[in-house]
Amino acid sequence: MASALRHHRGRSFKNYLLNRRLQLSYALSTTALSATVAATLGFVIYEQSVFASSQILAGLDGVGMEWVDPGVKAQIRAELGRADVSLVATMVGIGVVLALVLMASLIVMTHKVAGPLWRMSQCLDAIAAGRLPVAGSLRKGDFLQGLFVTLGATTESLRARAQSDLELADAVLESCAQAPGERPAALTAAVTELREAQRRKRAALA
Amino acid sequence: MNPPNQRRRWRSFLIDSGYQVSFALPVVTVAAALFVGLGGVAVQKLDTATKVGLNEVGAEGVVVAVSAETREALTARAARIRWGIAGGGVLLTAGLLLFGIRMTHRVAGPLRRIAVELEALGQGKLAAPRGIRRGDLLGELYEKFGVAVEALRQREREEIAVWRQIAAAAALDPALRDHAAVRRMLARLQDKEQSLG
Repeated sequence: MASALRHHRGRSFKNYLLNRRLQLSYALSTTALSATVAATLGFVIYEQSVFASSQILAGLDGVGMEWVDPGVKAQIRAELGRADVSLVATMVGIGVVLALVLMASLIVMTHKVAGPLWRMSQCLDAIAAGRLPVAGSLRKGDFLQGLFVTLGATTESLRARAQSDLELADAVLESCAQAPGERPAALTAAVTELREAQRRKRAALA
Repeated sequence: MNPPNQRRRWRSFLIDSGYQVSFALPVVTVAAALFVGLGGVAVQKLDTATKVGLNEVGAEGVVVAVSAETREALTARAARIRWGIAGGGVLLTAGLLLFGIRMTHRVAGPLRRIAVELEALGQGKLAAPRGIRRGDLLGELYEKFGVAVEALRQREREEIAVWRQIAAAAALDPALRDHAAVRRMLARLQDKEQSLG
């Protein structure tokens, strides 16, 4: 039976960051860029609010307004100050929500790339460890489907070649076993080596 | 591994347009949608802030007069900020699209190289990987690919050595020398040696 790589088909939150470097570098830089633009806009709107407040306060302290009770003036100042602070709080809150939503959606998007890369990495590790696995298929919605098809075709081709080599070497071993007369020591040693190589190759395909 | 041609050109920035565009567009759409939402709230807040100045604030029956100059300044500033919000949105969208294409290019480049080298492997050519460009992402994956290819090459070299041993011993035995299986093995040996480059 062919050796398929073991993997979980479902996505779960705990493994959304499969390739931290790749995923976070993109998600963080994109979020930082968006947050900078949003913060700049928030700042100019805050400035507008502060400018409007300062003009009103200047008018309140101007000539002809001496009759207004200082307590009422203080109340107006406090109201305008509260409005400015409330504006900052709202803009910061919206900015933070925007950054979090953007960050989360970017991690989900990059996961669809990191997942196939992780699967590919597993397949390459298996090959490096002496196996010839079946690449399998990707999850629905994953990117890089084309690359995985190429990987699958390559592993299939490697397996087919290994199988063909096994059959050829088996035929040679069979002919050695059936050869009449005493087998020379060199051939005996070579046959032993080839049997061991065949065992390893079968294990790689198992 | 010798890195291939290091130069990047704008026209070749879309190496795998299917992947790059389908990845960058949803990101840009999400960012644009969020920005439109934020922009809407921002415009609302801007209008409120401007109205406070234009309509004069009243408290306890006090009405503070605002000069015509101030009214003009507030209105002009509000208009500039509205344009700023719209322009910022357009710039952000375009910037994110370009950034997305650039980032995916740094992934698509090494993946294209791996795909080309995988195809060569599939055709039986066990050539050593050429390396990726400076600044490309996925260096670790490409390194793993190199280790896997080297493992395949090493296993092929070991098999060639064992097959050579068999072929040399069989050549001394008249019963085996001309056996069809041995002759096929000799032919395959040549292919295997060529596959290593």
